[in-house]
Amino acid sequence: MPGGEPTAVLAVRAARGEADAREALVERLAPMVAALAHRFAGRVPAADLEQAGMLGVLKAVNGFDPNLGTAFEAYASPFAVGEMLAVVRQSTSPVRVPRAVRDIERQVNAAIDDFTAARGRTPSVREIVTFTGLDEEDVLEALRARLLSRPVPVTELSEDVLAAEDGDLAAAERRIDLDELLAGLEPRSRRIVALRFGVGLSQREIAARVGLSQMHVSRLLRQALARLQGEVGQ
Amino acid sequence: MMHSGAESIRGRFGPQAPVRPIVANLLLALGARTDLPIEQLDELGLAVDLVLAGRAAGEVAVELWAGDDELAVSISPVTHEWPVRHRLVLESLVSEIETAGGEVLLRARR
Repeated sequence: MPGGEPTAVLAVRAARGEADAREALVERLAPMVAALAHRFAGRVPAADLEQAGMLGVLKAVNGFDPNLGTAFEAYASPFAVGEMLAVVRQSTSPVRVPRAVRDIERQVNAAIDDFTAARGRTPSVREIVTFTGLDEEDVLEALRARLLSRPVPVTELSEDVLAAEDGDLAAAERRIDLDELLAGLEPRSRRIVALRFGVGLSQREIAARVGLSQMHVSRLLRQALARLQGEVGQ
Repeated sequence: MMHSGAESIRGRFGPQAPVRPIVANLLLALGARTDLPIEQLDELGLAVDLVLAGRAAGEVAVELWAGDDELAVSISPVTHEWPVRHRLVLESLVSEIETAGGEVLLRARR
C-alpha cells in the first residue's frame, strides 16, 4: 500500500523501477515541487516548472541512499530546482528555443542521466543516438545547448547543497597550487573546483557527491575557468 | 606537431572572429565521430576555451583531428607563459597536452 509507506522507501522502490512507487512518489512530492516552482513564478508557466521539477525528483531516486540519514525530500529538492533552472534559462535565453527542440533536449538529458546511472560514465554521442533512437542531428542540437550554454549564476544554486564540510578539500588545496583558480571564488564554487582539480574527481563523481546534475557541475567549472580566461585582457 | 587522425578540420581566425563558438561547434561535430564520452568532450571544450584566452595577438590557427578513440585540438600561436601558468588545470581536463613553439596540442583519449 504505497500511500502509507515512508517516502524514503518509495524512493528506493522507485529506483528499482517499480511503477506504483513512482506514481506514489510523484503524488507525495507534488506539493513540495509546486512550492519550489513558486520561486520562479511569472518567468515560466507553472506547469512547465512543475513538470521539470518532478523530472528532477525522479532523477534523484537513482542516487538516493536512505542509510545516510538524509530525508528524501531534502535530497531531491536540489535536483528539482536544477531542472527548473534549466527550464528558466531556456525560456529567458536571447534565442528562443522551440518547444520541439526543448523536448528533444529533455529526452537527451534524461537519456544521459539514465545511461550514466546505469554504466557509471557518460555516453558518447553514438550511444545517445542508439539509446534514444533520435537522429544524430537532433542529438547534436540538444548537446549544443547542453555543452555550449552560458554558465548558471552561482547565486541561483541552493547554498546548503554545496556548503557541507568536506575533509578532502583542505588537503587538496594544500597539495596543489590552485590559488590562482580558487582566489575570489565563493565557497561553494571553491568546493566544486577543488574536487575537480584538487581531488581529481570527475564531473559525474562530483555531481553525485554534492547532489547536482553533471550538467550543473560542468557549468560551475565553466564559470570558474571563465575567471582565468578573463585575465588575458587585464 | 604531427598527429594522424581519420578526419581533420583546419581554420584560421582573425582577431575579431568569434573563434570560441565556432571551434566549440566543430569540436562537438567531430567529437560525434569518436567514441569519447560527452564528459570528455565537454572538458576538452573547457580546455580549448582556456587556451584560446591566451592566444597571441593577430590570427589564430586551430586544427582538430578525430580518430575512433580520441579527439585532438591544436591552437597557435599562444603566448608562451599561458599554458605553463595553467598547465595544472589543463592537465586535469585533457588526456595529454603538448606545447612547442607557441603551439598547444590538447588531446582527449578514451
